[in-house]
Amino acid sequence: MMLIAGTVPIKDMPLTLGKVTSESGYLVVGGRSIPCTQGTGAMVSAALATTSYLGLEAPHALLVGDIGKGEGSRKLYQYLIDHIEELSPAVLALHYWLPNMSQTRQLCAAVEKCARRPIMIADAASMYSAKAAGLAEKFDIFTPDPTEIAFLADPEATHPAYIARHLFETDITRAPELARAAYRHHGAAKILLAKGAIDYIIKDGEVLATISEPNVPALEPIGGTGDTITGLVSAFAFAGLELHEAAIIAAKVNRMAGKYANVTPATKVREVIAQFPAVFKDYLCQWSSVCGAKGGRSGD
Amino acid sequence: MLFQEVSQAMAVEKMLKAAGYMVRLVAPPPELRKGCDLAVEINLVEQPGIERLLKEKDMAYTSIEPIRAKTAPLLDAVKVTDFGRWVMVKAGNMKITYEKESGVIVNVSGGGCPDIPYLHAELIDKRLDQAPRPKALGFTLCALNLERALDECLALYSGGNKT
Amino acid sequence: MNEIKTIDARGLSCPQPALLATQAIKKLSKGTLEVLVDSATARENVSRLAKNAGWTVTIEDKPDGSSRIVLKK
Repeated sequence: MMLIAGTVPIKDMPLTLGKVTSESGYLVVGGRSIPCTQGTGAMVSAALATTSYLGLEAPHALLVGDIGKGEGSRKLYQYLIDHIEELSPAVLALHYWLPNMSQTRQLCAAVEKCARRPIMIADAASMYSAKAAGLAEKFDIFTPDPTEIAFLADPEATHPAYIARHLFETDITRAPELARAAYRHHGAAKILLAKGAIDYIIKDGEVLATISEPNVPALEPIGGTGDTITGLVSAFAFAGLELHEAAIIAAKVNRMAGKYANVTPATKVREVIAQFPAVFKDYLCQWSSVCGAKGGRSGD
Repeated sequence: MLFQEVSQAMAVEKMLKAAGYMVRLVAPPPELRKGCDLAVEINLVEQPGIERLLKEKDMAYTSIEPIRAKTAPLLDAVKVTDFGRWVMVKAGNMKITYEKESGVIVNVSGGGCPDIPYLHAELIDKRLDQAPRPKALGFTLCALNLERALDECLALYSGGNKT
Repeated sequence: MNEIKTIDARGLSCPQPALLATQAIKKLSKGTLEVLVDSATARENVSRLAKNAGWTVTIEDKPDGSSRIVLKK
Protein backbone atom coordinates (compact mmCIF):
# COMPACT_ATOMS: atom_id res chain seq x y z
CA MET A 1 0.00 0.00 0.00
CA MET A 2 0.82 3.66 -0.28
CA LEU A 3 0.54 5.40 3.08
CA ILE A 4 0.33 9.17 3.53
CA ALA A 5 0.61 10.53 7.06
CA GLY A 6 -0.10 14.08 8.12
CA THR A 7 -2.22 16.47 10.13
CA VAL A 8 -5.42 18.12 8.99
CA PRO A 9 -6.90 21.39 10.30
CA ILE A 10 -9.92 19.79 11.96
CA LYS A 11 -9.59 20.55 15.66
CA ASP A 12 -10.68 17.39 17.42
CA MET A 13 -10.39 14.81 14.70
CA PRO A 14 -8.96 11.66 16.26
CA LEU A 15 -6.23 9.60 14.69
CA THR A 16 -7.83 7.98 11.65
CA LEU A 17 -6.42 5.36 9.32
CA GLY A 18 -8.16 4.21 6.20
CA LYS A 19 -8.24 3.87 2.44
CA VAL A 20 -9.07 7.17 0.80
CA THR A 21 -12.20 7.73 -1.26
CA SER A 22 -13.86 10.88 -2.45
CA GLU A 23 -17.43 12.06 -2.19
CA SER A 24 -18.97 15.35 -3.34
CA GLY A 25 -15.60 17.04 -3.61
CA TYR A 26 -14.39 15.91 -0.19
CA LEU A 27 -11.94 13.22 0.71
CA VAL A 28 -13.29 10.49 2.96
CA VAL A 29 -11.03 8.55 5.30
CA GLY A 30 -12.36 6.23 7.97
CA GLY A 31 -15.81 7.75 7.53
CA ARG A 32 -14.55 11.30 8.08
CA SER A 33 -14.74 14.08 5.49
CA ILE A 34 -11.58 16.05 4.82
CA PRO A 35 -11.58 19.16 2.62
CA CYS A 36 -9.31 19.20 -0.40
CA THR A 37 -7.43 22.35 0.54
CA GLN A 38 -3.88 23.51 1.15
CA GLY A 39 -1.97 20.99 3.25
CA THR A 40 -2.26 17.24 3.54
CA GLY A 41 -5.76 17.37 2.00
CA ALA A 42 -4.37 18.66 -1.29
CA MET A 43 -1.56 16.12 -1.24
CA VAL A 44 -3.91 13.19 -0.63
CA SER A 45 -6.29 14.45 -3.34
CA ALA A 46 -3.48 14.60 -5.87
CA ALA A 47 -2.33 11.09 -4.97
CA LEU A 48 -5.89 9.76 -5.22
CA ALA A 49 -6.43 11.37 -8.62
CA THR A 50 -3.27 9.65 -9.84
CA THR A 51 -3.95 6.18 -8.48
CA SER A 52 -7.54 6.38 -9.76
CA TYR A 53 -6.36 7.18 -13.25
CA LEU A 54 -3.73 4.46 -13.28
CA GLY A 55 -6.13 1.86 -11.90
CA LEU A 56 -4.06 1.30 -8.78
CA GLU A 57 -5.17 0.73 -5.20
CA ALA A 58 -6.20 4.04 -3.62
CA PRO A 59 -3.79 5.54 -1.11
CA HIS A 60 -4.22 4.89 2.58
CA ALA A 61 -4.06 7.90 4.85
CA LEU A 62 -3.18 8.22 8.52
CA LEU A 63 -4.57 11.57 9.55
CA VAL A 64 -5.16 13.44 12.77
CA GLY A 65 -6.61 16.81 13.67
CA ASP A 66 -3.97 19.31 14.79
CA ILE A 67 -4.20 23.08 14.42
CA GLY A 68 -0.70 23.62 15.74
CA LYS A 69 -0.68 22.58 19.37
CA GLY A 70 1.15 19.39 18.57
CA GLU A 71 -0.83 16.80 20.49
CA GLY A 72 -2.26 15.26 17.33
CA SER A 73 1.15 15.29 15.69
CA ARG A 74 2.70 13.36 18.57
CA LYS A 75 -0.05 10.72 18.37
CA LEU A 76 0.43 10.43 14.62
CA TYR A 77 4.13 9.79 14.79
CA GLN A 78 3.78 7.49 17.82
CA TYR A 79 1.28 5.38 15.88
CA LEU A 80 3.71 5.13 12.99
CA ILE A 81 6.59 4.25 15.31
CA ASP A 82 4.49 1.51 16.92
CA HIS A 83 2.88 0.09 13.75
CA ILE A 84 5.05 0.78 10.72
CA GLU A 85 6.53 -2.73 10.75
CA GLU A 86 3.11 -4.37 10.58
CA LEU A 87 1.72 -1.78 8.12
CA SER A 88 4.71 -2.32 5.86
CA PRO A 89 3.77 0.21 3.16
CA ALA A 90 5.53 0.20 -0.20
CA VAL A 91 5.58 4.01 -0.03
CA LEU A 92 5.50 6.14 3.14
CA ALA A 93 4.88 9.83 2.47
CA LEU A 94 5.15 12.13 5.50
CA HIS A 95 3.61 15.57 5.38
CA TYR A 96 2.29 18.27 7.73
CA TRP A 97 2.95 17.85 11.46
CA LEU A 98 4.56 19.71 14.35
CA PRO A 99 8.25 18.92 13.87
CA ASN A 100 9.82 16.76 16.56
CA MET A 101 13.34 15.47 16.00
CA SER A 102 13.14 12.79 18.67
CA GLN A 103 10.04 11.16 17.20
CA THR A 104 11.54 11.43 13.72
CA ARG A 105 14.58 9.50 14.94
CA GLN A 106 12.37 6.85 16.50
CA LEU A 107 10.34 6.52 13.30
CA CYS A 108 13.42 6.11 11.12
CA ALA A 109 14.71 3.44 13.52
CA ALA A 110 11.35 1.63 13.31
CA VAL A 111 11.40 1.80 9.51
CA GLU A 112 14.77 0.03 9.50
CA LYS A 113 13.01 -2.99 11.01
CA CYS A 114 10.49 -3.28 8.17
CA ALA A 115 10.92 -6.50 6.19
CA ARG A 116 10.73 -4.44 3.02
CA ARG A 117 11.94 -0.89 3.40
CA PRO A 118 9.32 1.57 2.12
CA ILE A 119 10.15 4.33 -0.32
CA MET A 120 10.43 7.30 2.05
CA ILE A 121 9.12 10.66 0.92
CA ALA A 122 8.86 13.81 3.03
CA ASP A 123 7.61 17.34 2.49
CA ALA A 124 6.45 20.17 4.76
CA ALA A 125 7.46 19.96 8.41
CA SER A 126 8.20 16.24 8.15
CA MET A 127 11.03 17.29 5.84
CA TYR A 128 12.06 20.03 8.29
CA SER A 129 12.39 17.63 11.20
CA ALA A 130 14.10 14.94 9.12
CA LYS A 131 16.76 17.45 8.10
CA ALA A 132 17.02 18.96 11.59
CA ALA A 133 17.48 15.49 13.09
CA GLY A 134 20.31 14.71 10.67
CA LEU A 135 18.23 12.03 8.94
CA ALA A 136 17.69 13.55 5.50
CA GLU A 137 19.77 10.84 3.86
CA LYS A 138 17.37 8.16 5.11
CA PHE A 139 14.78 9.60 2.75
CA ASP A 140 14.39 8.87 -0.94
CA ILE A 141 12.64 12.08 -1.98
CA PHE A 142 12.23 15.57 -0.53
CA THR A 143 10.11 18.17 -2.34
CA PRO A 144 11.39 21.57 -1.12
CA ASP A 145 10.38 24.99 -2.42
CA PRO A 146 13.09 27.69 -2.83
CA THR A 147 13.03 28.77 0.84
CA GLU A 148 13.15 25.15 1.93
CA ILE A 149 16.13 24.41 -0.35
CA ALA A 150 17.93 27.25 1.42
CA PHE A 151 16.92 25.66 4.73
CA LEU A 152 18.29 22.28 3.64
CA ALA A 153 21.54 24.01 2.57
CA ASP A 154 21.97 25.80 5.89
CA PRO A 155 23.63 23.37 8.31
CA GLU A 156 22.65 25.50 11.32
CA ALA A 157 18.94 25.92 10.60
CA THR A 158 16.46 23.59 12.30
CA HIS A 159 13.44 25.34 10.72
CA PRO A 160 13.02 27.56 7.61
CA ALA A 161 12.28 30.48 9.94
CA TYR A 162 15.97 30.48 10.88
CA ILE A 163 17.81 30.26 7.59
CA ALA A 164 20.66 32.67 7.06
CA ARG A 165 19.54 35.81 5.30
CA HIS A 166 21.97 35.52 2.42
CA LEU A 167 20.45 32.13 1.56
CA PHE A 168 16.88 33.48 1.60
CA GLU A 169 17.67 36.17 -0.92
CA THR A 170 18.74 33.75 -3.63
CA ASP A 171 16.54 33.13 -6.66
CA ILE A 172 15.48 29.72 -7.90
CA THR A 173 18.28 29.56 -10.46
CA ARG A 174 20.64 29.09 -7.53
CA ALA A 175 18.73 25.99 -6.46
CA PRO A 176 21.30 23.58 -7.96
CA GLU A 177 24.10 25.32 -6.06
CA LEU A 178 22.09 25.31 -2.82
CA ALA A 179 21.16 21.69 -3.39
CA ARG A 180 24.83 20.76 -3.71
CA ALA A 181 25.44 22.53 -0.38
CA ALA A 182 22.53 20.56 1.10
CA TYR A 183 24.09 17.29 -0.04
CA ARG A 184 27.49 18.35 1.31
CA HIS A 185 25.96 19.10 4.71
CA HIS A 186 23.92 15.85 4.68
CA GLY A 187 20.70 17.87 4.59
CA ALA A 188 19.23 16.33 1.44
CA ALA A 189 17.30 13.19 0.55
CA LYS A 190 18.66 11.01 -2.27
CA ILE A 191 16.45 12.90 -4.71
CA LEU A 192 15.37 16.51 -4.40
CA LEU A 193 12.39 17.69 -6.41
CA ALA A 194 13.13 21.40 -6.02
CA LYS A 195 9.89 23.11 -6.99
CA GLY A 196 9.68 26.72 -8.12
CA ALA A 197 9.52 28.92 -11.20
CA ILE A 198 11.94 26.32 -12.55
CA ASP A 199 11.70 22.78 -11.18
CA TYR A 200 14.94 20.89 -10.71
CA ILE A 201 15.24 17.16 -10.23
CA ILE A 202 18.50 16.57 -8.42
CA LYS A 203 19.98 13.22 -7.47
CA ASP A 204 23.01 12.90 -5.21
CA GLY A 205 23.90 16.52 -5.92
CA GLU A 206 23.64 16.34 -9.71
CA VAL A 207 20.85 17.97 -11.73
CA LEU A 208 19.09 15.25 -13.74
CA ALA A 209 16.36 17.43 -15.21
CA THR A 210 15.24 21.03 -15.43
CA ILE A 211 11.57 21.73 -16.08
CA SER A 212 10.42 25.22 -16.91
CA GLU A 213 7.50 24.67 -19.30
CA PRO A 214 4.75 25.45 -19.34
CA ASN A 215 5.65 28.53 -17.35
CA VAL A 216 2.72 29.29 -15.02
CA PRO A 217 3.85 31.94 -12.49
CA ALA A 218 0.39 32.09 -10.90
CA LEU A 219 0.90 28.59 -9.48
CA GLU A 220 3.26 29.95 -6.82
CA PRO A 221 0.70 31.98 -4.83
CA ILE A 222 -1.86 29.18 -4.85
CA GLY A 223 -1.88 27.37 -1.52
CA GLY A 224 -1.49 23.64 -2.02
CA THR A 225 0.27 23.51 -5.39
CA GLY A 226 3.43 22.35 -3.67
CA ASP A 227 1.44 19.74 -1.78
CA THR A 228 0.01 18.38 -5.04
CA ILE A 229 3.51 17.79 -6.42
CA THR A 230 4.28 15.67 -3.36
CA GLY A 231 1.05 13.70 -3.85
CA LEU A 232 1.85 13.16 -7.51
CA VAL A 233 5.43 11.98 -6.98
CA SER A 234 4.33 9.65 -4.17
CA ALA A 235 1.68 8.05 -6.38
CA PHE A 236 4.02 7.69 -9.35
CA ALA A 237 6.61 6.10 -7.06
CA PHE A 238 3.89 3.69 -5.88
CA ALA A 239 3.06 2.96 -9.53
CA GLY A 240 6.60 1.68 -10.00
CA LEU A 241 8.21 4.49 -11.94
CA GLU A 242 11.90 5.03 -11.31
CA LEU A 243 12.01 7.69 -8.59
CA HIS A 244 13.70 10.37 -10.68
CA GLU A 245 11.15 9.77 -13.44
CA ALA A 246 8.31 9.97 -10.91
CA ALA A 247 9.69 13.37 -9.87
CA ILE A 248 10.05 14.64 -13.44
CA ILE A 249 6.55 13.64 -14.43
CA ALA A 250 5.07 15.03 -11.19
CA ALA A 251 6.59 18.43 -11.93
CA LYS A 252 5.33 18.38 -15.52
CA VAL A 253 1.80 17.30 -14.58
CA ASN A 254 1.50 20.05 -11.96
CA ARG A 255 2.50 22.76 -14.42
CA MET A 256 0.32 21.50 -17.23
CA ALA A 257 -2.66 21.20 -14.89
CA GLY A 258 -2.09 24.83 -13.93
CA LYS A 259 -2.14 25.76 -17.60
CA TYR A 260 -5.25 23.68 -18.30
CA ALA A 261 -6.99 25.35 -15.33
CA ASN A 262 -6.02 28.84 -16.55
CA VAL A 263 -4.99 29.66 -13.02
CA THR A 264 -4.75 33.12 -11.52
CA PRO A 265 -3.30 33.91 -8.09
CA ALA A 266 -6.86 33.62 -6.76
CA THR A 267 -7.44 30.06 -8.02
CA LYS A 268 -7.94 27.35 -5.40
CA VAL A 269 -5.90 24.15 -5.53
CA ARG A 270 -8.88 21.86 -6.09
CA GLU A 271 -9.37 23.48 -9.50
CA VAL A 272 -5.82 22.47 -10.44
CA ILE A 273 -6.32 18.89 -9.22
CA ALA A 274 -9.53 18.69 -11.24
CA GLN A 275 -7.40 18.99 -14.39
CA PHE A 276 -5.11 16.06 -13.56
CA PRO A 277 -7.16 13.40 -15.42
CA ALA A 278 -7.15 15.46 -18.62
CA VAL A 279 -3.39 16.04 -18.34
CA PHE A 280 -2.79 12.34 -17.67
CA LYS A 281 -4.86 11.40 -20.71
CA ASP A 282 -3.06 13.84 -22.99
CA TYR A 283 0.50 13.52 -21.72
CA LEU A 284 1.27 10.67 -19.35
CA CYS A 285 2.14 8.15 -22.03
CA GLN A 286 4.31 10.65 -23.89
CA TRP A 287 6.20 11.70 -20.78
CA SER A 288 6.79 8.21 -19.47
CA SER A 289 9.93 6.47 -20.70
CA VAL A 290 8.11 3.13 -20.93
CA CYS A 291 5.60 4.43 -23.47
CA GLY A 292 6.27 5.32 -27.06
CA ALA A 293 3.07 7.19 -27.86
CA LYS A 294 3.06 10.79 -28.98
CA GLY A 295 0.41 12.96 -27.44
CA GLY A 296 -0.43 16.41 -26.20
CA ARG A 297 -2.88 19.02 -27.30
CA SER A 298 -2.30 21.19 -30.32
CA GLY A 299 -0.73 24.47 -29.39
CA ASP A 300 1.04 23.05 -26.29
CA MET B 1 14.19 32.46 28.21
CA LEU B 2 13.02 28.98 27.21
CA PHE B 3 9.51 27.62 26.76
CA GLN B 4 7.67 24.36 26.22
CA GLU B 5 5.66 25.73 23.31
CA VAL B 6 6.28 28.22 20.54
CA SER B 7 2.99 29.93 21.32
CA GLN B 8 4.15 30.66 24.87
CA ALA B 9 7.30 32.34 23.58
CA MET B 10 5.26 34.46 21.17
CA ALA B 11 2.84 35.53 23.89
CA VAL B 12 5.63 36.47 26.33
CA GLU B 13 7.57 38.42 23.71
CA LYS B 14 4.43 40.39 22.85
CA MET B 15 3.71 41.12 26.49
CA LEU B 16 7.28 42.15 27.34
CA LYS B 17 7.49 44.46 24.34
CA ALA B 18 4.21 46.08 25.32
CA ALA B 19 5.66 46.57 28.81
CA GLY B 20 8.63 48.40 27.26
CA TYR B 21 11.31 45.72 27.38
CA MET B 22 13.74 45.31 24.48
CA VAL B 23 13.48 41.63 23.75
CA ARG B 24 13.54 39.51 20.62
CA LEU B 25 12.52 36.07 19.48
CA VAL B 26 15.40 33.70 18.72
CA ALA B 27 16.15 30.02 18.30
CA PRO B 28 17.19 28.27 21.50
CA PRO B 29 20.76 26.96 21.63
CA PRO B 30 21.22 23.93 19.34
CA GLU B 31 21.40 21.32 22.08
CA LEU B 32 17.97 22.38 23.36
CA ARG B 33 16.11 22.39 20.06
CA LYS B 34 13.22 19.97 19.44
CA GLY B 35 12.18 20.93 15.92
CA CYS B 36 9.85 23.91 15.98
CA ASP B 37 11.39 26.06 18.71
CA LEU B 38 11.34 29.60 19.94
CA ALA B 39 13.03 31.38 22.82
CA VAL B 40 12.99 34.99 24.00
CA GLU B 41 16.31 36.77 24.27
CA ILE B 42 16.31 39.15 27.24
CA ASN B 43 18.85 41.34 28.91
CA LEU B 44 19.93 39.26 31.92
CA VAL B 45 20.20 42.44 33.95
CA GLU B 46 16.45 42.75 33.67
CA GLN B 47 15.74 39.19 34.71
CA PRO B 48 14.23 39.95 38.15
CA GLY B 49 11.74 42.43 36.75
CA ILE B 50 10.81 40.20 33.87
CA GLU B 51 10.33 37.15 36.11
CA ARG B 52 8.10 39.18 38.41
CA LEU B 53 6.02 40.44 35.51
CA LEU B 54 5.53 36.94 34.14
CA LYS B 55 4.46 35.74 37.58
CA GLU B 56 1.93 38.58 37.86
CA LYS B 57 0.56 37.71 34.44
CA ASP B 58 0.63 33.99 35.20
CA MET B 59 2.70 33.27 32.09
CA ALA B 60 4.77 30.09 32.10
CA TYR B 61 8.34 29.58 30.98
CA THR B 62 10.78 26.73 31.44
CA SER B 63 13.95 28.50 32.51
CA ILE B 64 16.22 31.45 31.95
CA GLU B 65 19.71 30.51 30.79
CA PRO B 66 22.68 32.79 30.18
CA ILE B 67 23.68 32.56 26.54
CA ARG B 68 26.76 30.39 26.05
CA ALA B 69 26.09 28.97 22.61
CA LYS B 70 25.05 30.75 19.47
CA THR B 71 21.39 31.61 19.15
CA ALA B 72 19.98 32.33 15.74
CA PRO B 73 17.78 35.28 14.95
CA LEU B 74 14.56 34.77 13.04
CA LEU B 75 14.75 35.48 9.34
CA ASP B 76 12.99 38.77 8.74
CA ALA B 77 13.37 39.13 4.99
CA VAL B 78 10.30 40.04 2.97
CA LYS B 79 9.77 39.87 -0.80
CA VAL B 80 6.92 41.39 -2.80
CA THR B 81 5.72 40.15 -6.22
CA ASP B 82 3.26 42.08 -8.36
CA PHE B 83 0.76 39.91 -10.26
CA GLY B 84 -1.12 42.79 -11.85
CA ARG B 85 -4.51 42.54 -10.16
CA TRP B 86 -2.94 40.82 -7.13
CA VAL B 87 0.12 41.17 -4.90
CA MET B 88 2.00 38.30 -3.25
CA VAL B 89 4.06 39.01 -0.14
CA LYS B 90 6.58 36.45 1.02
CA ALA B 91 8.00 36.53 4.55
CA GLY B 92 10.40 33.68 5.27
CA ASN B 93 8.66 30.53 4.08
CA MET B 94 5.12 32.01 4.04
CA LYS B 95 3.19 33.85 1.34
CA ILE B 96 -0.03 35.84 1.38
CA THR B 97 -1.66 37.00 -1.85
CA TYR B 98 -4.34 39.67 -1.88
CA GLU B 99 -6.40 41.47 -4.49
CA LYS B 100 -5.18 45.06 -4.85
CA GLU B 101 -8.56 46.71 -5.32
CA SER B 102 -10.52 45.06 -2.54
CA GLY B 103 -7.70 44.12 -0.15
CA VAL B 104 -9.19 40.64 0.08
CA ILE B 105 -6.82 37.74 0.79
CA VAL B 106 -7.15 35.23 -2.05
CA ASN B 107 -4.46 32.74 -1.16
CA VAL B 108 -2.05 31.65 1.56
CA SER B 109 0.81 29.34 0.65
CA GLY B 110 4.04 27.91 2.00
CA GLY B 111 4.95 26.44 5.34
CA GLY B 112 4.70 22.97 6.76
CA CYS B 113 3.53 23.28 10.36
CA PRO B 114 0.00 22.11 11.21
CA ASP B 115 -1.44 25.54 12.04
CA ILE B 116 -0.92 26.73 8.48
CA PRO B 117 -3.82 24.89 6.79
CA TYR B 118 -5.97 26.11 9.68
CA LEU B 119 -4.80 29.70 9.20
CA HIS B 120 -5.25 29.34 5.44
CA ALA B 121 -8.93 28.58 6.01
CA GLU B 122 -9.28 31.44 8.51
CA LEU B 123 -7.61 34.08 6.32
CA ILE B 124 -8.95 33.27 2.86
CA ASP B 125 -11.63 35.66 1.56
CA LYS B 126 -11.12 38.06 4.46
CA ARG B 127 -10.07 41.64 3.95
CA LEU B 128 -6.53 42.29 5.14
CA ASP B 129 -7.68 44.64 7.89
CA GLN B 130 -10.37 42.23 9.06
CA ALA B 131 -8.37 39.04 8.92
CA PRO B 132 -7.47 37.32 12.20
CA ARG B 133 -3.86 37.74 13.28
CA PRO B 134 -1.82 34.58 12.62
CA LYS B 135 0.25 35.17 15.76
CA ALA B 136 -2.93 35.18 17.84
CA LEU B 137 -4.41 32.05 16.28
CA GLY B 138 -1.28 30.11 15.34
CA PHE B 139 1.23 28.18 17.38
CA THR B 140 4.38 27.84 15.32
CA LEU B 141 7.25 29.57 13.59
CA CYS B 142 5.36 29.27 10.31
CA ALA B 143 2.53 31.28 11.89
CA LEU B 144 5.05 33.90 12.95
CA ASN B 145 6.24 34.29 9.36
CA LEU B 146 2.63 34.49 8.21
CA GLU B 147 2.09 37.32 10.71
CA ARG B 148 5.05 39.16 9.18
CA ALA B 149 3.63 38.64 5.71
CA LEU B 150 0.27 40.01 6.84
CA ASP B 151 1.92 43.07 8.41
CA GLU B 152 3.68 43.81 5.15
CA CYS B 153 0.46 43.33 3.16
CA LEU B 154 -1.33 45.78 5.45
CA ALA B 155 1.48 48.31 5.12
CA LEU B 156 1.40 48.04 1.34
CA TYR B 157 -2.37 48.14 1.08
CA SER B 158 -3.01 50.94 3.54
CA GLY B 159 -0.11 52.94 2.20
CA GLY B 160 -2.43 53.77 -0.67
CA ASN B 161 0.04 51.96 -2.85
CA LYS B 162 -1.88 48.82 -3.55
CA THR B 163 1.21 47.25 -5.13
CA MET C 1 6.74 -27.60 -16.97
CA ASN C 2 7.48 -23.85 -17.00
CA GLU C 3 5.05 -21.80 -14.98
CA ILE C 4 3.45 -18.96 -16.95
CA LYS C 5 3.18 -15.75 -14.99
CA THR C 6 0.14 -13.69 -15.93
CA ILE C 7 -0.13 -9.95 -15.67
CA ASP C 8 -3.66 -8.69 -16.13
CA ALA C 9 -3.28 -5.05 -17.20
CA ARG C 10 -6.80 -4.74 -18.59
CA GLY C 11 -8.55 -1.65 -17.27
CA LEU C 12 -5.27 0.04 -16.42
CA SER C 13 -4.26 3.31 -18.03
CA CYS C 14 -0.98 4.05 -19.73
CA PRO C 15 1.80 3.82 -18.59
CA GLN C 16 0.67 1.22 -16.04
CA PRO C 17 0.56 -1.81 -18.39
CA ALA C 18 4.06 -1.05 -19.65
CA LEU C 19 5.31 -0.44 -16.11
CA LEU C 20 3.96 -3.76 -14.85
CA ALA C 21 5.47 -5.58 -17.81
CA THR C 22 8.84 -3.85 -17.25
CA GLN C 23 8.85 -4.81 -13.60
CA ALA C 24 7.96 -8.42 -14.39
CA ILE C 25 10.64 -8.66 -17.07
CA LYS C 26 13.26 -7.30 -14.70
CA LYS C 27 12.27 -9.80 -12.01
CA LEU C 28 12.09 -12.84 -14.28
CA SER C 29 15.31 -12.99 -16.28
CA LYS C 30 13.91 -15.80 -18.41
CA GLY C 31 10.71 -17.80 -18.73
CA THR C 32 7.23 -17.10 -20.04
CA LEU C 33 5.08 -14.09 -19.27
CA GLU C 34 1.53 -13.51 -20.36
CA VAL C 35 0.33 -9.90 -20.40
CA LEU C 36 -3.36 -9.11 -20.92
CA VAL C 37 -4.14 -5.62 -22.25
CA ASP C 38 -7.16 -3.91 -23.72
CA SER C 39 -5.73 -1.01 -25.74
CA ALA C 40 -3.65 -0.70 -28.87
CA THR C 41 -1.23 1.64 -27.08
CA ALA C 42 -0.63 -0.85 -24.30
CA ARG C 43 -0.19 -3.65 -26.83
CA GLU C 44 2.43 -1.65 -28.75
CA ASN C 45 4.26 -0.46 -25.63
CA VAL C 46 4.49 -3.89 -24.00
CA SER C 47 5.57 -5.51 -27.28
CA ARG C 48 8.22 -2.88 -27.95
CA LEU C 49 9.80 -2.92 -24.51
CA ALA C 50 9.81 -6.71 -24.41
CA LYS C 51 11.54 -6.94 -27.80
CA ASN C 52 14.07 -4.31 -26.69
CA ALA C 53 14.82 -6.50 -23.67
CA GLY C 54 15.45 -9.51 -25.91
CA TRP C 55 12.15 -11.37 -25.41
CA THR C 56 10.15 -12.94 -28.25
CA VAL C 57 6.63 -11.61 -28.55
CA THR C 58 3.49 -13.35 -29.73
CA ILE C 59 0.19 -11.49 -29.83
CA GLU C 60 -3.24 -13.05 -29.81
CA ASP C 61 -6.07 -10.58 -30.39
CA LYS C 62 -9.38 -11.55 -28.77
CA PRO C 63 -12.89 -10.88 -30.08
CA ASP C 64 -13.63 -8.60 -27.10
CA GLY C 65 -10.91 -6.17 -28.21
CA SER C 66 -8.34 -7.29 -25.65
CA SER C 67 -5.01 -8.88 -26.49
CA ARG C 68 -2.97 -11.65 -24.93
CA ILE C 69 0.74 -10.93 -25.34
CA VAL C 70 3.03 -13.88 -24.65
CA LEU C 71 6.64 -13.06 -23.89
CA LYS C 72 9.31 -15.75 -23.90
CA LYS C 73 12.98 -15.80 -23.18
